[in-house]
Amino acid sequence: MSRISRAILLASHLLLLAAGGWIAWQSATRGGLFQQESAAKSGKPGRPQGAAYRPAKQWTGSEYARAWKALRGGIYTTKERVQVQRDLLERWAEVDLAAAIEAALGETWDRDGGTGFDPSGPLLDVFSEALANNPQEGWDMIRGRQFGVGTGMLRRVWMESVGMKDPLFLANRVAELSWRDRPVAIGICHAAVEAGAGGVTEAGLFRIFAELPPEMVSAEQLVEFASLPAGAMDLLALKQEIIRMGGDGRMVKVQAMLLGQALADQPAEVVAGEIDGLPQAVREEVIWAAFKDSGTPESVLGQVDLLVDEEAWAKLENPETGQQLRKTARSGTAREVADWAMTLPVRQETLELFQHGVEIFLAENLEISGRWLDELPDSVWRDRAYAGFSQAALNVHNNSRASRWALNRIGDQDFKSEAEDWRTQWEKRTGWTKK
Amino acid sequence: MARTSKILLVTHVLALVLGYGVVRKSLERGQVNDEDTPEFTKLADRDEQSPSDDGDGLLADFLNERSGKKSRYAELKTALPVAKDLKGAVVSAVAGLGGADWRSGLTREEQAARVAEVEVRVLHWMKDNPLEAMGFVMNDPACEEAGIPELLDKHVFLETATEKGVLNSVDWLARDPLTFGTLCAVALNEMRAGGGFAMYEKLAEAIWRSSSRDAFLEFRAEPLVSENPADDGERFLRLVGAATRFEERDRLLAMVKRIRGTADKTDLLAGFAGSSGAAAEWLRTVLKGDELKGELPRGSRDDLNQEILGVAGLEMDRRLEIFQEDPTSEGRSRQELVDELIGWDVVSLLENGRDWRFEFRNGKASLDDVLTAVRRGLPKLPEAGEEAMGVALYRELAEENPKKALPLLDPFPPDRRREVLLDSTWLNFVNVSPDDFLRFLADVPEAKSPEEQERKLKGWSTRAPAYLWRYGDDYIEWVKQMPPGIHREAAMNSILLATAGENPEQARELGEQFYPRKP
Repeated sequence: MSRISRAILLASHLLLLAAGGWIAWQSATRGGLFQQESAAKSGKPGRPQGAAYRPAKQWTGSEYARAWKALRGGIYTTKERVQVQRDLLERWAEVDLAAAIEAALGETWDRDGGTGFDPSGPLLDVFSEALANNPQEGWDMIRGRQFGVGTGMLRRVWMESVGMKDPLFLANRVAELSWRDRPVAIGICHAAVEAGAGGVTEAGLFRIFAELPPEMVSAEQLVEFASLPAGAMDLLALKQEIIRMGGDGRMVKVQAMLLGQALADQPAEVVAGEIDGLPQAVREEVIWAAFKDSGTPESVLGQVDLLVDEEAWAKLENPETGQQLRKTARSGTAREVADWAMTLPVRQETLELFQHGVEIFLAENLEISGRWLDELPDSVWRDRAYAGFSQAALNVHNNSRASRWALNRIGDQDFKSEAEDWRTQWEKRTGWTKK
Repeated sequence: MARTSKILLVTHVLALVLGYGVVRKSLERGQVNDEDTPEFTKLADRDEQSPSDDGDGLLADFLNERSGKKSRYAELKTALPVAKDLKGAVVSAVAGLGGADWRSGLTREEQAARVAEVEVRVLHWMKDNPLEAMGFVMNDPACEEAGIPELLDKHVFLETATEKGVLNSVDWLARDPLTFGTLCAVALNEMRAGGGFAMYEKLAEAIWRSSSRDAFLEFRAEPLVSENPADDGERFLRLVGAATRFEERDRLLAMVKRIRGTADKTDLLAGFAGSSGAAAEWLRTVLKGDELKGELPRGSRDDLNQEILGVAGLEMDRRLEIFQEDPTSEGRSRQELVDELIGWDVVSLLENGRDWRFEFRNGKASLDDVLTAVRRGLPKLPEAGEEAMGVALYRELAEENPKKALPLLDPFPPDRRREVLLDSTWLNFVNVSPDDFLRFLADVPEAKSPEEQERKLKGWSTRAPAYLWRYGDDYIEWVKQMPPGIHREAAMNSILLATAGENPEQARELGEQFYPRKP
């Protein structure tokens, strides 16, 4: 073959190659390959000619997948896009839950404007209903870690939605959940039973949870599902049951808490009488439960005194004790609570409690509380009350002079310098300067 | 010769087909750039159909259905003739709704058809006498059982109020809290369409005279739940403030002085301040003067100053003036404050405007596209804020596609570029997939010193508690599967540290799993 023939042959092949390309270009542009953006955004039908319209509820999973992909060609604000995606995913989940979840996890997992702790991002909670309707399917996905690390976010949505619809289903899987998830799941079961979901009773859930070991379900968690045996006020039977059970196991603690709850608004003398004869650890639990449920100032203060008598220092240090005192003081008995606080034994474990006991009264009215302070006998508590007064004057009333008055009356010089430091922090924070 | 001709024919046809195939393939790839697109789902493509040929059409159909343009209700609206006895037609359509037959005897399709007929019959009646029609549907037990009032609110009430105008609809729209959301939506649409604040004043007066006044006051104190994403989650009065034109500022101020609630006053002013740089400047002047001294407590004034601070349309010097008054700014240089403000602006622009991050992630938008849009969105960007803009934008876009965002750092000196990359390891990627975080780390340069190494690995420790809270044991399993190296080790150690505080026994067990003793 001559050189000319070879050149002609090469040229003719190249020509046909180019022709093929040109035909492809033409057919693509005519067929709407580049019309994606405007079609999706404007809402114009972009279906190929002749294709019949079918409502989305008749779509297959593949059709949802194609609509999902087409979203990438549109122009939206973030809120609009997320809303369209959520609507698509909700419908898609009805025909292919796993594919819809996988598509959602293919998007960003961050939710705009949220705090650092965001359990499931902007899309996954849309599967709540589908998961609640198919609890076993969801559970299999979670157990099999079907979506890698993202499965963790799905588990949160699953627990919430399944638990609120069918708490029994969730309760029966608590043992298989990790220690991190168990308290959340148990809390959801409790919320569900309170809302009357799933036709399950507290007793039914109690039986399930009581079979799990204490390291999985604590006495505090169990008591939420427990109720008094043999009539609501049969305290003697309850006490006998506790003595019969003996030891300091979880069930004893549960019974002790039940007894305490039943005694919540009783005077301290009644509570003291009821716990007489019980082991010391159990007595503490009874008083603690009674204290937490108390509604009257007399019973609250009386039961803290019982905790002091029992030397239950860990309970007295517990932040819940201070919160309950503040709540009581706010109910119109701030002066009584402050007077009572002055009777607390001075110990490391009671310092915080004392502060909670006096702070509401000190802050209410500086003039009245100032006079009260001046009448107090010289003591560790009086110095601490002056310091509390200074803090209230600064932080509540923005009154630096009253603060100075109180600080100057603190007798213990070491403690005074600590209280001065608290004031210095306020001065820095507010930019206060002496006039 | 005949044989040569056949061969030539075949090779020419092959050239034609090859040319077609190559171009077609490249066009399809160019439509959604695979290089820029994260690996898509396996399950989503589980059947054999071609995935992209009709996606636009399907999506368009879905959007039309969603907006009610393509629904059984929309079809019936044009097909169903208006009955002579409007009420009788509704009563007849409603008969049998709810009850056992409704729940078990009809398919979902049949139920939808019945509900659509009720909607259209009610629409016909509402056009004639909305008060009477509304009274009927809100009190009929069958309607309640079938959830008709909620459904009507979505289409029929909205359409009727839009057609008649919100002021002409207050008597029936403000009767029940169920329709308050629709009232707000229509009012905002009318304000934005030109009615302005004057329209809202009339509306407020009409509601004040209605019997639902107190219920409405409670309603507007809560964030709206709206079909319109722009309004969803915002309080009504804030949106009213935002829809107020600048020339109506004195009327707005007069209303702020007239109404009682501090939160309501703050909402109106905050919404207005955010509407433009001029509005923010005006509010700043008002707050500095005496006009609102007795009207707003210190806390609300501080809140409003914070709002003004976030308005990118306000001159930078004015914003800095406010920022410097804030006690948290003490000891910080002017440049640091500028950087922080620009950072807020970039984030706000990306979160509230066009979804550039999504487009960037999926290959629709290039880096230049986003950069141009951000510059356009921040017309008051000072020269001193250029670098901060680049850093903030990089941090946002790196979470979508770290490699594609990297050229944003090209104009920076090498040390600064290095610093941004190292700090992004712990300042960013907070709720981002750990897989994406690991991919980003591949681009972070090798540490040159122990201090740099510490910064490079800091992200694992700062993020561990949140990762464990969000992903639980799935994160632990994920870390076990990481490729060996310093990142895996840092991730494991941070898990142990975060777990030890909560559950020492579990931390010990995990330690044994991560670092098994050699036999």
